Amino acid sequence: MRVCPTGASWQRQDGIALVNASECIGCRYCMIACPYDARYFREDLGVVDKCTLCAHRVDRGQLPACVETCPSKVRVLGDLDDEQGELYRLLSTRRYVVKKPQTGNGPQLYYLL
Amino acid sequence: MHEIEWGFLIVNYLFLGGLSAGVFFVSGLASYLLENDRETYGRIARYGAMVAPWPVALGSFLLIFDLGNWYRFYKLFFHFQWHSPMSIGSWLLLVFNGVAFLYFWAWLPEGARQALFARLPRRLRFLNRLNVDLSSRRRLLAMAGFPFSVGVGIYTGVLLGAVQARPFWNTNLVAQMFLFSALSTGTAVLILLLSLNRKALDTKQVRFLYTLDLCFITLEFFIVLPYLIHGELSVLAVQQALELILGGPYTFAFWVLFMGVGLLAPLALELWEMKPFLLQRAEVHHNKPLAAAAAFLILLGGYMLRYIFVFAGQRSAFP
Repeated sequence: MRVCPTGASWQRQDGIALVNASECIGCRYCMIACPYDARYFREDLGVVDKCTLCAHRVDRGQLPACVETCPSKVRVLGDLDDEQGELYRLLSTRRYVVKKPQTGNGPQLYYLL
Repeated sequence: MHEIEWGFLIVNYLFLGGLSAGVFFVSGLASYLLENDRETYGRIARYGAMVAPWPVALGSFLLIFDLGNWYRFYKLFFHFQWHSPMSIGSWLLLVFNGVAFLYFWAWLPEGARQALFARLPRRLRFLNRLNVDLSSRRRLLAMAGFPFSVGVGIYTGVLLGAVQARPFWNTNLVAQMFLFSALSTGTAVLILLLSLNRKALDTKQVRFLYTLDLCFITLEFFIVLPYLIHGELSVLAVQQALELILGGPYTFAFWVLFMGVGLLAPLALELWEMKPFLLQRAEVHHNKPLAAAAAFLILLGGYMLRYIFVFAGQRSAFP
């Protein structure tokens, strides 16, 4: 997000990173700077896009589509500060890893081992 | 492996931006050097002023056309993001473009300026107001442009160096490497212009450019060397990234085309040209073809450096 020259790439208070398509000029600097290769270029719109974690659904209190439809229910979305939540319970009782923490991005996608 | 997002348009832009920065810097320096109140290096200053604004202007256009939405480029100037090297860089480019054009205007011969305005169609006659003589402001403009030319030269390296996710780039040495390469390619353009010109080479001017370029190339060499040593002594990700040029797909481009042909060969040629002066305080050789060849090789080396860094850098990643 830091490298974005227009501020089109931004992070919400809850941690979800989004691209504001109307402010994106399509320089693709953020794609190059992303250690996870999570971003892709929309040739049709000339802007960068990425997984939104279904922010529109999360805002309505729903789960992201991938969490809801996952047949084996291995995905969990939650609030890290919610001590009663399932996410808090899992992370405090199970071992987990995050990807490429050495890049200093504070990733919040935890892989349970 | 990471896909290549920035291609040859960006390579060309980094090269052209650096070229202009270097030409402006050397021209500005030449405009300051007087001997007995005479501008001994006036010809270098004028040539530089005539050339400086064009490559960076062309480069800026290439940069804009590389955008997914080129017509949104104006947004770069409405949202200043101090933490984004690209945001800072676009302002640097804008100001440098402006100063370089004013500097060009200040050095444009009176006759050429009048001829330009004489050709204006009647409807555009109001533009005659712009027909001002800035020749007394040459040094002021050079002074104003120095920080911006160095800024543009170094920013092209910062743009790449600031990306944490690409270990090939993520060192502050890249910025210095690009700066000295920019200054060297700028000097090379002026050497090329002098040697392609029919007029006989002026000893002092040639010596001035060779001396500068020898400094720039040497400094560049002693930045590339620690870049390699430092990288090899760094964390695994950086060591793996360096494999791209140490046995990987960019090895030939780096060692032969950049280090050999583009850096050490012109260094040797320029040292040979300067040898009589360096060893016996005698005249430098006045070998025009050799001077032109050295300059051409420097330009090739400068282009290769940018090509290698843009492409290899994007293919490097944390494991």
